[in-house]
Amino acid sequence: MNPYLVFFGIGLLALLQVSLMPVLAVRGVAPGLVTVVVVSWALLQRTRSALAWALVGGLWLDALGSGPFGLYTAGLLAAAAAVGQVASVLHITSPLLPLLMVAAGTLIANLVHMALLAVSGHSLPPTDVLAPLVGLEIVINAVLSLPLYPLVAVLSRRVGGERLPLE
Amino acid sequence: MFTHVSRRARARWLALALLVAVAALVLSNSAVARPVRSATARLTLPLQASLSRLGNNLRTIFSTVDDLATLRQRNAELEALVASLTIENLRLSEVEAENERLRALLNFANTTPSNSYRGGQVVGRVVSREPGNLVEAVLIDLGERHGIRVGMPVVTERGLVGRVSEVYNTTSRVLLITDSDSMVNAMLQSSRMRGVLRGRANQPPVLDYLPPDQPVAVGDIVLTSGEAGNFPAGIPIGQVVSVEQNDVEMFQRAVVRTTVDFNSLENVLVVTNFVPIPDLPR
Repeated sequence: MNPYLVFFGIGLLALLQVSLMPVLAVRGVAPGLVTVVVVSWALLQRTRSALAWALVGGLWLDALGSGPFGLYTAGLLAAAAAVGQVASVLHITSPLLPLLMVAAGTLIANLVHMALLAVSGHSLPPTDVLAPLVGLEIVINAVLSLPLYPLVAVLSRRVGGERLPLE
Repeated sequence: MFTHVSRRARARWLALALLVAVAALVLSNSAVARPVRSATARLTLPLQASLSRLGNNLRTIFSTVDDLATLRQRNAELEALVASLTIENLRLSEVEAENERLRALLNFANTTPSNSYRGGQVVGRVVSREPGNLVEAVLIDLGERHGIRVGMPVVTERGLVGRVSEVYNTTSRVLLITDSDSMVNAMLQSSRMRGVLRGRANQPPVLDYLPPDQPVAVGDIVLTSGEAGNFPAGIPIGQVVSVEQNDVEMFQRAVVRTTVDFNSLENVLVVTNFVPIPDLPR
């Protein structure tokens, strides 16, 4: 896939994340559009280009956000790597798999965020955050994957398998 | 064409990606992150502003649909409220007139902090929010070139929003009082009891460190106290909705419902002529 298309395409998703997704927030928790797309891509394309997508998406989010720079990159990379790895050993074609993987990816990304925020001195008591915030985001992202995963799957079929520059 | 990826290439990519993430984290506290964020904000500001406007329109449509269901009931409630506020307004006009006379007598009309920040405000639009839910901040379309500086208080006509945490050329980042890293010195309007308002991720903030032996009533108004010099005194923050105290903790704390609705924040005022005292905790 054209790297410029990936860069600007994911950039647009990141912009939608910071401007439009808050409108869709449920109880103050906004859906993670970029997380859902990157994890879906990892499930469809394994770790191959998913890491590149996670890297580009994470850097865009870090450039648009205000937390420690690298927060979103690290979270998305961890989620994409884990989901890609699991998907490469699992050979299940259940329709529930995208939902479960998006839920797992969201949890992993958030755990990384919490760890990095704690390391950088932010006070985030896990009891305040895990159930009311991360739990709700997992549900919201899983629901968002229902319309998004088929769209990402169409793109994945068009692109086919990819060879990365370092291979 | 599908090509099998070797384990080595995958490991190489993972290593490179992790290296970039670690490098970014290491550089985040240096001067490197700021120009990147400043340039990104400047380049994407028009698109962010357009998308934000679209989002606000969508929000209005959603809320209109939502409101239609309860419109009749709300109308009756509001009419009753208008009647009671009209009476209250008359009473307050009297109080204000008396207050003016007393101030003139004491000759300190223009020296109190609550008056001095008026007139030094610039209006900004909220153009985007945080990508994640763990940090609560917004980006506004005012920056260095508009005279914005780190630490300046940000308010709306309804009350305190937060403070400027990062300033770029044409935009600024505002850390909301609901962020778990935010602390504001506050007081209860009726008893003048002092405490510290702490943000909590996705939950109403709490007014902490209140003395345990003094009563706190549900409905008490919470204002900035002006202590520590971070915010002007007297800015409304919210209202106490519940009080928590247990035998283990030395203080009691009050859960506060903010007067500002942070989910529908569109325009804010930056108090530009209030200079916060530097190097103090938030």
